Amino acid sequence: MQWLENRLKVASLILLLTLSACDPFSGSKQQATSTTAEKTRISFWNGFTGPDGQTMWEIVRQFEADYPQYEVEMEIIPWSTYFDKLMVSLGSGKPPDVFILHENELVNYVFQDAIRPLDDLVNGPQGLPVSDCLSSIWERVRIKVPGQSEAKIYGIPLDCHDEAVYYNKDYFRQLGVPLPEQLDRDNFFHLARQLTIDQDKDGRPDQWGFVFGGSVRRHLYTLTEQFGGQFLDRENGICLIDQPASQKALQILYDAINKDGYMPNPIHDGSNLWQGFLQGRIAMYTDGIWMMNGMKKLADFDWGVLPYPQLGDQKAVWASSHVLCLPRFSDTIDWEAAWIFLTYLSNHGVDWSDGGQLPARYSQLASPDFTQKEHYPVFAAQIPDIIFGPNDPNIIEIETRMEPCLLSAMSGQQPMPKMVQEIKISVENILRRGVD
Amino acid sequence: MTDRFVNRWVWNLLLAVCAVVMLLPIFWMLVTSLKPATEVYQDPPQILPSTLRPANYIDLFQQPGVPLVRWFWNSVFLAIVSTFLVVSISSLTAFAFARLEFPFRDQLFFLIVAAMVVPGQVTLVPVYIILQKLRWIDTYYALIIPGLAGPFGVFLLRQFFLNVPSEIEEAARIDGCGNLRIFFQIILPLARPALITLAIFTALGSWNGFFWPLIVTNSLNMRTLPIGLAILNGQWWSEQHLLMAAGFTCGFPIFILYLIFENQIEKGVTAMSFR
Amino acid sequence: MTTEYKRSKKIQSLIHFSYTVPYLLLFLGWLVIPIIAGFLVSLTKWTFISGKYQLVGLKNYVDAFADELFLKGIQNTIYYTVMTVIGGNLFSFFLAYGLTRVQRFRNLFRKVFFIPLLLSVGVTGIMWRWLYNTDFGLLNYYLGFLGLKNINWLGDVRISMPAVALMAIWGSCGFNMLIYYAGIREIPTELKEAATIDGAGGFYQLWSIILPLIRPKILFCLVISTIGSIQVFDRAYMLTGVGPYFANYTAIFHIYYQAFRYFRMGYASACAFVLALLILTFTSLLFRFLGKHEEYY
Repeated sequence: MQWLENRLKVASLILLLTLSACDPFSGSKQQATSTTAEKTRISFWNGFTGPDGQTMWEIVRQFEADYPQYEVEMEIIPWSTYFDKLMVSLGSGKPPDVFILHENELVNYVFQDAIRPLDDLVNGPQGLPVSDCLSSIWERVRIKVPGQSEAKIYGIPLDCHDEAVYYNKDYFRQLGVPLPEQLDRDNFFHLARQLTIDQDKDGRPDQWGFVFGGSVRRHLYTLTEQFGGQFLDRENGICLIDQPASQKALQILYDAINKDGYMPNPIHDGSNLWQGFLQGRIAMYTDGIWMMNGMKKLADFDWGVLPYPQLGDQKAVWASSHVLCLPRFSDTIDWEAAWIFLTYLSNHGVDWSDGGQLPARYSQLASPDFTQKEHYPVFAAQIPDIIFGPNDPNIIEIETRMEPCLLSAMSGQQPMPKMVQEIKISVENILRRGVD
Repeated sequence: MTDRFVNRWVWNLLLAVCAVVMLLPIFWMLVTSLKPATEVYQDPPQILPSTLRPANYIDLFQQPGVPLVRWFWNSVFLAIVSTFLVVSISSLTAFAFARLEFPFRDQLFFLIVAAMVVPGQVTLVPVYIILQKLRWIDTYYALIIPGLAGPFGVFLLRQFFLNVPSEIEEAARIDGCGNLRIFFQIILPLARPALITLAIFTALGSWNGFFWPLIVTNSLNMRTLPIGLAILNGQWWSEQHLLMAAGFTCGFPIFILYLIFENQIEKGVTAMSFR
Repeated sequence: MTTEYKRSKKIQSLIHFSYTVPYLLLFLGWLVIPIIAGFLVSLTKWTFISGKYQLVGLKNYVDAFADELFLKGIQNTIYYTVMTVIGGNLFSFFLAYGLTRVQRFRNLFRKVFFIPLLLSVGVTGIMWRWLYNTDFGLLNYYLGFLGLKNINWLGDVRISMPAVALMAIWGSCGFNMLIYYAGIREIPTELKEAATIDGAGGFYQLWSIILPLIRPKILFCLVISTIGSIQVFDRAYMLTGVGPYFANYTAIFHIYYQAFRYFRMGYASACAFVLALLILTFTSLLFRFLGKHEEYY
């Protein structure tokens, strides 16, 4: 009996191993055309899992049509695991040829010597018109590594994405409130409170006037800069969250939930603010331009876009950018092919903007194809005022460390001064520590 | 006597309440999975849906970008392969340590037992670095091989083998049996309960494994079932009916297996504590 | 005997040894060497991508003890462990004892109590997260019947960790229950009846006879639960992630984030060794207080 069972086990094991080797399920890699031996392969990794992935897919196909000698292997990985995978592959000698990073993450990889400087390629024969790239983003990709004499270019901006206010026009009309042209100190608070309604009179609002949506710390960065301050002073290793500018910003965010009460409490497990907006229970919802396609598809009310509220003296709106990079070490890369693909993507920023982004090139922003798109001009008009989040090499750790504290403070669960102190001390510790 | 009777019924009641508590979450999961999407988010929640929508289960498998079947298969494959390898390697090794003579035998065994004391986290980082250098991250090798080094199986089986009376074995040796034959035809059949216990433990451990697969897999297709469900937990927050259907589908096969192997499982668990 | 005579003793030993070689290779390569390497890595600043390192001695350990987030993690871990181990074992014992006191539905109850153990953490995680939902969850609905307001189970910093512990107890009590049940059943009935004859009640029986006799089982369950609880990651990860104001941030979370999100391998390794020390301390304390000085192997 035992012999039979053993044999069965061995047989099934062999079967299973064979099956696994065949890999009956297709992977997430997509190949545009059938492989032929002559084509040069370019591997491209990004995190565009939403509808923007489709847009990128079309651009890639176009590239392969324009450059028949190249073939692109694009792999789309959800952002949550993207960086793990990237990290592992950068150290293993077989990284992707071209990959995407957010501009604030670039420093981390550059300091670990994982990104190839692009100065020679940018200034070379198939170079890029540097002056055409948005200057504020360009400054972010030129990084000076400690020990080097000058800053080098480590990535090419693919796009720019900022935040603005999506608003529900039907909501306004139902309440007989005139549609605003912009939001500033004079009308913002009044409007937000006016649009917060407690219909069933149970003491809790059922409809909300304004939501600082997406990620709380973006709003912290924006409002701090609007009040003339800064969240982080990297050179001196100081976190300025206890300074007046940040304090004013935090006060606004805190009051939004706890005093003026026009925003639902984000720590409440049941609240999903984006859903609430789509269901018509929120009048104004702030989020990035990348939500555009989601709005077009899912919102069944008449909506528009307003610029980010101007609540301070300085003009500031948070933005970030996807940056295209080449790896420093790779056994398999064809530098020329990768660079050509990279510049192609940069040159097709208007096509890419269909995925809910702004092009990172002045010429593209000015082109009629772009300016005619509905809602986009509001986002684009904010470009001169954009500010970026801190880009310390340890930014991920910094932001992971401060996020729960920030949320607790805003939601009223923990006292604000205590949280401010905690954020300040822990962030400064991380800054002081530097890179491993 | 009536005292005893009342006593017993009080206990029956108490245990019945506990049983309801045990099953209520599962029941709620099932109920939610059969609700149409509009009925899921109701405040106050409805215990019983007004209409049943078993089609949710069909929708479940048609969601784009969610390789549920693949995740299930990964977990099943891993459980079977891990169990088979662990049981076979451990039993052979335990046999050698229990019944065969070779130099440094007892010292080596002591080393193995000592390693049992060391908690698992200390090997996380170095094993990960090794896997990265071997380029095994995101492959089945990374999910299976490091787990085979566990000393628990060897320890458990050696303990058991030591308790097997040696008369049968001696008789077999006199008859001319070699070691391997003794192993396969005498020891293993006698050790069946212990082997099953080990198999169940390894299988359950592999099936429920979370931390390790989370770290060593990156691609969606290489994820195991618990990780897949964790991903859906975030992604399908607003589609609880689908999420619950996924949960039920994944829990159900184990339940069936339990019904089949119930006795063995329980024997195994109780046998574990006889150290 | 004849076959053995023919081979020399040396070759015999070698053959015997060879049976252990597959395992020993795995053991060496994936356990021994990593433990040593892990310790060595913890003495460095290790850059993951390039594999370059810089020896810093015990600095990582000093940093670990100075890192308030890591200390918070350890605090949370201890809090969680105490809740789960004590609560869980009490409940498991209660169920086991109850099983011995009923007759008719005993098998049914036993099966039912074992079921949650079979479900993987993935399933229980999504199940309970939905149960705990503040607006639409079943628990708050029942609380409403008792006249209590909605509790923010997972979002309230005071309740979040107990909520995770509750789910853990629910999911794993079946295991300890079986062990206790077997233990109680082993006790010879004469001993139990002797007490009744003397006129003592059930409680006396429980306290003076049953509990002392199943002491090894209690120790076993406590040790296993402790080791499991200190290493908890999946349950908290599924329910809340880090939790409101790091309520569910256990020591393992810290290691996970440091090693696999920030890729600070040296520091994470040091934290892992510190956690290992914690586990060893707890387990040896348990053995000291509850174990008899028996040979365990």
